[in-house]
Amino acid sequence: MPRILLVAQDKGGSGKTVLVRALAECLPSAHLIEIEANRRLVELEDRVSFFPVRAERGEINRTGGAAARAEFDGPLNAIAAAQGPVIVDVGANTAGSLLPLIGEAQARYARRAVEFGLLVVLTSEPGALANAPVLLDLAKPFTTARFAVENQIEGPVDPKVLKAFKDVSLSWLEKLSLDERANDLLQKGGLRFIGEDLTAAEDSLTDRFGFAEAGRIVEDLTRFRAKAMQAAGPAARWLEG
Amino acid sequence: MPLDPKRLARDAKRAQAQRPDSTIGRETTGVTRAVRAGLPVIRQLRAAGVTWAAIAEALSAQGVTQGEGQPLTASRLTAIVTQVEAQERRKADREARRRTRPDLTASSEAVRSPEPPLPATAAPALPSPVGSNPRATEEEIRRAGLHDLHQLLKKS
Repeated sequence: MPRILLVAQDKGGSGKTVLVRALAECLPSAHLIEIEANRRLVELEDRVSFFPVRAERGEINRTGGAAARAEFDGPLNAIAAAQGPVIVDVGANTAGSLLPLIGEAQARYARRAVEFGLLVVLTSEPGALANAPVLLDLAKPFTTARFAVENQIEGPVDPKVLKAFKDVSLSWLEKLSLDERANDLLQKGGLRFIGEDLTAAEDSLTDRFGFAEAGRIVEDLTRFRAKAMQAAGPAARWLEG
Repeated sequence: MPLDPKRLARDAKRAQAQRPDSTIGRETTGVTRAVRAGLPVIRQLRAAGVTWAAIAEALSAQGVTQGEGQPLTASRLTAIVTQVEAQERRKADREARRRTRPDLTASSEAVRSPEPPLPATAAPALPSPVGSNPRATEEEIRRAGLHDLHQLLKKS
């Protein structure tokens, strides 16, 4: 039974892609679908099927709106063809359109034994805070598991607000202060290299940046990856089945 | 020698209109022109996992053929797409070099029609130094960053 985890937050800059990367680290066998304006998960290479959005305005006009209706055909087909666990990175400003389409097709997906879960990323930024319950409600009719990760990058979310997420599995990613160079490497390489290459590269980093800073880089990145994987853990365990 | 600007404009337009009759500087087959026009759609199809063979077959169905009405093959199509993408890159590079020329004034730059940014290619592009390409796509910038990272992590 293929399990599909949709990772969504329509407000950009919430850390959604960090959590997608953390899920990919938790489940190295999972395939990924990226629905974005531009390809971002480049370090994951052929684990990712990329589907660009949005339909171009000229194409929508030319086809009388048909292009807009068909804009998610690619990812919807890819989900239907899933053979194992799939992580779907739903780009900003996209989930509000995509989730109802999946809901409409739920009965057909169910005949293929496809099961859906949703993970929303929550920050204290008002736009992200307002969007999270909307997406959770949209997904409720067709998901068997729902998760929320409180990303404290903008500071902790008001505990009173979090109480509203009582029927959702909640975890959090604390704000970490990273060495500036470590943060630069994180932006360039995501999480994959931290698990695969970083320890072996410590000598190279020492040659380049000195003993003390190389140590900070390795320590900060290793800690960040571990925390992100911990935050993604509940959803990863569900996805693994 | 004084120039007649009206005559210059008229003659230039006439020469431009006659240009397709020359074999220099024009596309020699309708296939390249059709592929160039359909390139955004072709890229979307490739990104959605449609094979080159299927796209070639669909183009043939619309009359985009090679030789004497022979169906367009996948290898011919990929060759044309590669050629057109290389042309686009060269054009973008020329525009970028032009913008750095100190002898061009701001006003002459202002009348230049804007070029749309190059879309990401369906196949992973080789990383290139972003600093040399001011119109790099987000994906190109990310790939260049990843390439830098791998270089840094290599054993010295």
